[in-house]
Amino acid sequence: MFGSDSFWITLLLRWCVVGATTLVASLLIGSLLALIMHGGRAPQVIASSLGRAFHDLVFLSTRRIGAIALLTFKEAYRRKAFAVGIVFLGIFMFGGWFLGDSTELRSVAPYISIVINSMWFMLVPMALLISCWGLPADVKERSIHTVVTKPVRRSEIVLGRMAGYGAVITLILFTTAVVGYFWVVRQVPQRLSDQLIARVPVYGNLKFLTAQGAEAEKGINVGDPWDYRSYIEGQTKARAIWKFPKINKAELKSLGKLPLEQRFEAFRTYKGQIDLETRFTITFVNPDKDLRVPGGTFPTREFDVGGRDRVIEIPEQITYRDSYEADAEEKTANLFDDLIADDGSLTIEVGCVEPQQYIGVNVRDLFIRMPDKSFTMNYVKAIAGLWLLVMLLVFLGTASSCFVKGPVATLLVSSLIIMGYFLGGHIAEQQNQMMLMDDGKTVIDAGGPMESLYRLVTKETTLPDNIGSTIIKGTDRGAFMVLIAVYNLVPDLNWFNTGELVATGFDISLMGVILPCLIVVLGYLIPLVILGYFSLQLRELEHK
Amino acid sequence: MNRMTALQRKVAYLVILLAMLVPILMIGRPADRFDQNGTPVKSGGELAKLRFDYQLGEASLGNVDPTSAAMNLVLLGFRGIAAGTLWVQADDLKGRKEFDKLRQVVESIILLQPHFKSVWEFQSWNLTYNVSAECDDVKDRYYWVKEGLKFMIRGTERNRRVPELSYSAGAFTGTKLGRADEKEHYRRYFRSDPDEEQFQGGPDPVVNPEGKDNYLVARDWYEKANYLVNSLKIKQHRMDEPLFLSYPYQSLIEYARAVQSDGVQVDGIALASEDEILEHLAMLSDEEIDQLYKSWSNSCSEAWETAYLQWINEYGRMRLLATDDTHFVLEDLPQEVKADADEEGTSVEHVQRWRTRYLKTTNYPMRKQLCEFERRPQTALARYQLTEGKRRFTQLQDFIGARDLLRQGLENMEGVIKLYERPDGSNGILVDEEDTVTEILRALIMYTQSFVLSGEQVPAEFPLKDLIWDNPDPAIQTIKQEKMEAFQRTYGG
Repeated sequence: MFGSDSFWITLLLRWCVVGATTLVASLLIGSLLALIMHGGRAPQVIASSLGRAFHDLVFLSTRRIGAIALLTFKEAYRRKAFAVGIVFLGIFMFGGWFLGDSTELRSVAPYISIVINSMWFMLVPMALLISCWGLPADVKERSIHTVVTKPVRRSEIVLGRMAGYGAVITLILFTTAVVGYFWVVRQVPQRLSDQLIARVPVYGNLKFLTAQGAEAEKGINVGDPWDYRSYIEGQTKARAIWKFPKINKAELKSLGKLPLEQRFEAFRTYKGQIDLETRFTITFVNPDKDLRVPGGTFPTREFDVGGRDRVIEIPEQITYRDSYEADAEEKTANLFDDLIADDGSLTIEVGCVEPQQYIGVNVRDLFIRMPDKSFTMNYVKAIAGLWLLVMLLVFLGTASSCFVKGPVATLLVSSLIIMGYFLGGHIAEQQNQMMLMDDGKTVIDAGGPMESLYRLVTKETTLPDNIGSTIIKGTDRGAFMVLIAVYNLVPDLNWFNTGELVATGFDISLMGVILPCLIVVLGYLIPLVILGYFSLQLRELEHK
Repeated sequence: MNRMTALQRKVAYLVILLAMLVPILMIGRPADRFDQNGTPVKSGGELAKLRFDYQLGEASLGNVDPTSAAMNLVLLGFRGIAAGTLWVQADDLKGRKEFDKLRQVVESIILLQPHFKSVWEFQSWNLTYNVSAECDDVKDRYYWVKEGLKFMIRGTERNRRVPELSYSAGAFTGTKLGRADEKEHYRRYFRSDPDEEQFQGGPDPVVNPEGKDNYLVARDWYEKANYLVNSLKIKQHRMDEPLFLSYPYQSLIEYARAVQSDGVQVDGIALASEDEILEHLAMLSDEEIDQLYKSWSNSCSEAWETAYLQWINEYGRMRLLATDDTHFVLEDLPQEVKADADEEGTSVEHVQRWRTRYLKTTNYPMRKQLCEFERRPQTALARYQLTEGKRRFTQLQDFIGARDLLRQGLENMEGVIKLYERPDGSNGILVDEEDTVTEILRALIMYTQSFVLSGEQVPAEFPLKDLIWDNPDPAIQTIKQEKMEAFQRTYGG
């Protein structure tokens, strides 16, 4: 679980393993090169290089780094990097064009998306270009000599460059973020302004009961190609059961109620009563006291964009009857004292009311909605996420520009961006398929590159059971392992996508989103500085 | 060897550039004269005149959206890639049920492809038919039906010379709203939008500016499509042209049918529900009810009369075009067919063959017969008597009063139906009008059951006994059996 001690230890261990592997591999390659170039003097050369590197990387002068950063900033200013702000201004001037008829809009999401997406499209290429082209341009124009001939360490040049480019991007990001904020606040129509919030959801874990009452991991698939939700049948024993572990009882008690928000989907197998929505029931379960308390019946309110009508407020005192008999005794249960289990968890069962109709659920479709936070703070956090992303790109660009020329560095970082956004999903899917296969389960799998090639050429749908197939599968697995190794080196940039959360009105958790992004950035900064340092150390600066 | 200095060369280039601008300006000068609507008329340079002749200017195609033009310019040659990506994105968003985002993406697609007919057709159908079906609440469903319709209406404004788009707007308004499972709600919402906060109980002015019935609005759209085909001679590629041109008139028939099936109405409520009508009737005296039913009966008669006259005088007299470019008129008398053939330079048989074929294709005689049957005062009176008789039976359990009215209604109906006997012994109404036969069978069941429930003997003879009740036609007997079972399920026995 994210945030637990074991999670952090695993993360740190993984970082150390990846770092150490890369370091050992680099050392091996470096030693080999030294052996070829210097023969018997190689160990001496290696030892002196490592000693100097240790000195250069540890004893850094903040004054010199600051001076180089300032120089970089001035250089960017001279090269009119700030003119990009005008482009951004243009987007806002004409932003309304892309929104269509604003009287028709039911959500504030398009307004916020325009701002965040515009900033992304402006800042990411800018970070890429200025960081990838700066150093190579200096080398080409030989202006780098004015720096390297001074008593300044190469590591300080790398860090100074990173800091300088980072400052340029930060200034532009700050200005555009302020303009963007006021644009959103002014443009959003009054009737939608209540959507400018930051919901604070508390999610639980989900499991199911089948129509026969057996426990299950999933509900029914109703044939929807999008398998995000699974469904429970009405008027059967089928239930979706959420367990919210360790809920903040004190804060909820101060509210005097339990606010829940749901995003269920209805699926009808027959027309039914057309003018009535499909309904669901909520039941609170406390297994410690063997208590089941009905919380009420509610319509699904599927497409209420703002979410106002999808909030269910359960009062602290729940009055109920635990039987359908007319003379059943009326009972009262206290939400916080009677329904929260001894371990601090709250269990909620959801069932569908209408027979032969279904309710579709996903684990995130029911959450406890703690008091909303401010939209402004949420916007600031979204901007912080974007800032961390562009900083990471600046670091990557600067480090790449230390060992290759501008265009190649740009291509390299662009590829990393593409892989950072898209590789993760594919690898995870493949890993999932491989795990299922290892468990002996059947999966719809097209195999790896070799298997695909074999099947394409032979037009066979499966591999024959022979040694050739074993070789093909082994090769494919090897290729996949290489891909996993690459994946471990490439940052998953989807973590930095905070715009969607702020647009849909969900709080961006500092601990859950921003802190991991910061750790990712720092995790890359250290090896990138080392890489940049060695590259610049070895690079022939006379070479154009 | 070039002996010119750098300055001389630059001046020379400038002069050549300016000289080349002259013919460009002469050829490419934009239109500089406009009509009272601000639409350019044939004027300006040669290119502008050619654009006017071939109807290729943005303004000739429809209203101009500066954003769209700007987007296409900004994207240079990447418009296709951008549009393709957006189409994929739209499909993905639909799959993930993010309909508000889908709507935004569709907006972007039309900025890139404002004159691509399929964009408007596909995406508006997508919103109206596919997205609406995903919603559980009928109000949400209507919202998305309306969104698709609005999108199509914008398509007609951006593409004034595409008859298929006006036709589709008519089909959405007429067929989607009028034939869906939710038609009772949709037709009501069309005149009184469920978003009361925004429309204060009135219609959404974008789809129904005059607050009319959906079939009448559909007719207006079909008329617009016909105007483009008939008057501006623009080809449509949806269906056979004579069939395409019949839709405004079919819409009037649908309207008359709807007025008939909606029944009596309550003042101040757009298309009252059955419960609201019954509640209203319960508060009225017998005379007032009688008056209300007669007024409804007259409205039906008028609606059918209008549909009939338009069908035979407008559509029936329209000069239609067969697929081999032969002209014919559906209502032509033999001598008129000969005149047409002479004018076309072809044989009478040739024209007659096409005419006969299209009489079948367009269901012309059957629709004519229906309108003619329904517009008769005797039919209207019979409808009133049967409806009121059924109400007395089901709501008031007044079996004697119901029996009298039902008998009168059946007698009147029999009198009219007999007029449609064909030379081969069959009856046009019994063969073609299943709805009418079903309605009569329901009335006959109640009529006969009124005797049974009063403990009396069903008479040996009663109106329509031979013609319908004892008719050996298996189709009629099947309906009778079904309705008998339905009656028993509801009332027992």
